[in-house]
Amino acid sequence: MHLGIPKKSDLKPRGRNRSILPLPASFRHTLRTYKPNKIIYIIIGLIIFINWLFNGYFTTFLLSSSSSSSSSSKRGFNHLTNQEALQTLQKNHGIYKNEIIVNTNYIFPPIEHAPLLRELTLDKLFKSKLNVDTQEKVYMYNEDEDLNDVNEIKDKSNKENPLDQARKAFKEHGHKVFRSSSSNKKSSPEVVLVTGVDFEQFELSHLTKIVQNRVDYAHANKYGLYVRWIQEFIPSLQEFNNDYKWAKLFIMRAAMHAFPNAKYFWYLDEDSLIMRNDIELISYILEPDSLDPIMLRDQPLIVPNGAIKTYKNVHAKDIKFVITQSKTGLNTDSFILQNEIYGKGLLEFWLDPLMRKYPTFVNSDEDALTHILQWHPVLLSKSTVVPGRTICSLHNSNTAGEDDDVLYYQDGDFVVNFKGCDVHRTCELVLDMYLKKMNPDE
Amino acid sequence: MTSRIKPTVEELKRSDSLYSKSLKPSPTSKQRYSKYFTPSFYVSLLSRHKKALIALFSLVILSVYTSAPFIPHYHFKEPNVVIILAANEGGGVQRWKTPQEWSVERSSISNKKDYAKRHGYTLAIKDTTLKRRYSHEWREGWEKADILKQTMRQYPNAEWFWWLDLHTFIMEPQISLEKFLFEDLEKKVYRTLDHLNPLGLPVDSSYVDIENSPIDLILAQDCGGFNLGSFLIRRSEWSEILMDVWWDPAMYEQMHMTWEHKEQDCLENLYKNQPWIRERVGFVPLRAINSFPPGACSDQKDDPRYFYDSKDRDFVVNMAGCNFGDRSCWDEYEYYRNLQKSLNKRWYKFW
Repeated sequence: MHLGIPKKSDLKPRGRNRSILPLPASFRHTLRTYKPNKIIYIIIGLIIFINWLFNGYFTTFLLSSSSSSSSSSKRGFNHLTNQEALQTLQKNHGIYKNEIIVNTNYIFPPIEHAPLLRELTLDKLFKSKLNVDTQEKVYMYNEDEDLNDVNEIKDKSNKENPLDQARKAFKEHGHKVFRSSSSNKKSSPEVVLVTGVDFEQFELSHLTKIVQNRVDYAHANKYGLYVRWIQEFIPSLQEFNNDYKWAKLFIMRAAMHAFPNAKYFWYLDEDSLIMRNDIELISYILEPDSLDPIMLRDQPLIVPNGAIKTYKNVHAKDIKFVITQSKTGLNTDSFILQNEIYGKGLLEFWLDPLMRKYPTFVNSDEDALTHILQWHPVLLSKSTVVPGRTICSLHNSNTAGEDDDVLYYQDGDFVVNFKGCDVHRTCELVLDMYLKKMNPDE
Repeated sequence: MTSRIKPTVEELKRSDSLYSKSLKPSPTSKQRYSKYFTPSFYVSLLSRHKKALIALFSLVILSVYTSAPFIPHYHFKEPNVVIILAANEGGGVQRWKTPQEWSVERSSISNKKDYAKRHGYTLAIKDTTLKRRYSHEWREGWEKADILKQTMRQYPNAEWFWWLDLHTFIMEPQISLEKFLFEDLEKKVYRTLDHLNPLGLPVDSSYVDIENSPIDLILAQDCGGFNLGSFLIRRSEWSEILMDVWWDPAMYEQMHMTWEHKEQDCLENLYKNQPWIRERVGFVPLRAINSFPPGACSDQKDDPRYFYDSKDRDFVVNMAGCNFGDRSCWDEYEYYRNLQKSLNKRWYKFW
């Protein structure tokens, strides 16, 4: 035994059962010898399990009992809602609530009615009232007419009178929607060609040629066709004195409703002619592989040197809106829109009353579109400009004029667009010229 | 006889289980498991493996609370909800903030912080001081869209974003949004304006396809129309476009004199005229996410649909407009803070 400084090892507890806890020895002893009944563990486990069964969470009984007693009955807000009103969902319908379901892919009005409709005038086609302030006649959409058993509107028209028949067909046309007879989605056409025709501006013979051209193309490629009279949308156009050019957007929206399962909608103005029926739109321009190489990236929206340009790094698969440019800017005579959220969002934003009402847009849907794409980057990133000659080669009225092989029609092009032909009233002449090019024999 | 002396493998195995080699009697099943029920077993287990325990402990801490590299990180719950709290409303260089305002802001932030922590949500506090880029164009209010856009970029994995104004107070912090709202969402929200239509908007509109559209925006209406003091928006292509088109110069130029409530009126207008917006908006009763104190909506002060009810234990109270008239934000805020405290008091807590 020595009384020197103790070595470190002397202070360490001995034995294997060293405790890490600096607890008094007596407490350690109790812990070591305490052997509770198994029953206690089982009961605690059972309480937790039952609590989980009834309350849905693994907290202990005591903690949850106090909080659940106050709010378990009111964890939702059912007591605040009107259960009946929760069930009401609005039916999806177009401008008219009653819809005539057709099974054919081609929805177009009886063109032969054009002279009759002109004879009837708008006064007989719409209800109207006089605006007291401006002393102008205001046309209104016809009331929702009920349908009868043979899927026609109930109209007390005279079956013998051709004028009455024309009026009835005019009213009825807006109610028509395509719903495939089978539930199979594939029976709906994938592409729908959309055109608006104007019976006030053109003669029957001219209108027939245009619509026949569209029917031929749609038939050759098994596409859908949706043609409306521009005059059907007079009440909307009249709201803000919009130019008839705005009608294409209303027609486009109606087309999307009429063919809900189609993927692409191609609007082609009546001032255009499809020159080649053998070109299939999807493989020609819509597939990412075909669209990617022809997209104009970093292209100013307002040519030639607008500040806002299309994006450099966009993928063709993200594109929902395809349009071309003329010499001055975007050309809305021919554009393709996808039937999904970006396409619908763009179209409906474009159609907003405040857009149609804005003074500089009243006469130009093109200016409105340019404005939208310039100010809204998300919509711009889903849009692309493609070279004009892909889906909208322009007619070169200046025969001796400059050669521009980007914009103007050359033999073999898909579509010719005679934009602006109404200025000199040459539409009929130009159309006939191109028809002759198409079928030299006739 | 040799076979008797040399037992087969089978016999050996059997004898091993019956007799231990130390010739002690084999433990009965009761004895065998009873040691697991004594605390001393665990105490000794822990003390025997101290180093391993420390290593494991630090690994868990690093994994859960840090983002150190080379360690698997386990997240208990991917934060699916982000609460956006608009702080410093209208603040900035133009005036001093009073001590009461500081106090209100502090309680508001700590209220949301506690709530977010409790349910594993993320809280994003966004500064809405007057900024030149907005006041220059007179478009304060629309910064909401920019803040939402920015927050969606900041938290790329979150799905729902809950916008809360500063003067809101969560009265029932134990309510989780999942249970309260997101589960069976379709069955809980109104898809049309039939139930309440203070603005007199057309209830039925063409081209609205509700049945095939999800709910991307959850709103409540007060006595004056849409209320953007508390709303939830889901990350989607739809909300991306909405954030993009919410402010448009052509619309703004025509309407800035009429749109008294700025972005709120603009949204009402979009809802009214554009079917793609309308089909994805769901409405909840005001008191579900945004109860009013008695001072607000004074024209309809007897309508029970708008005002906070402590018996029903409404979820959130929004003291909108508390700085106008003879109301006092601080008084109201203190009142609801104390009320929440007393309502949610636990019997086992003494403080």
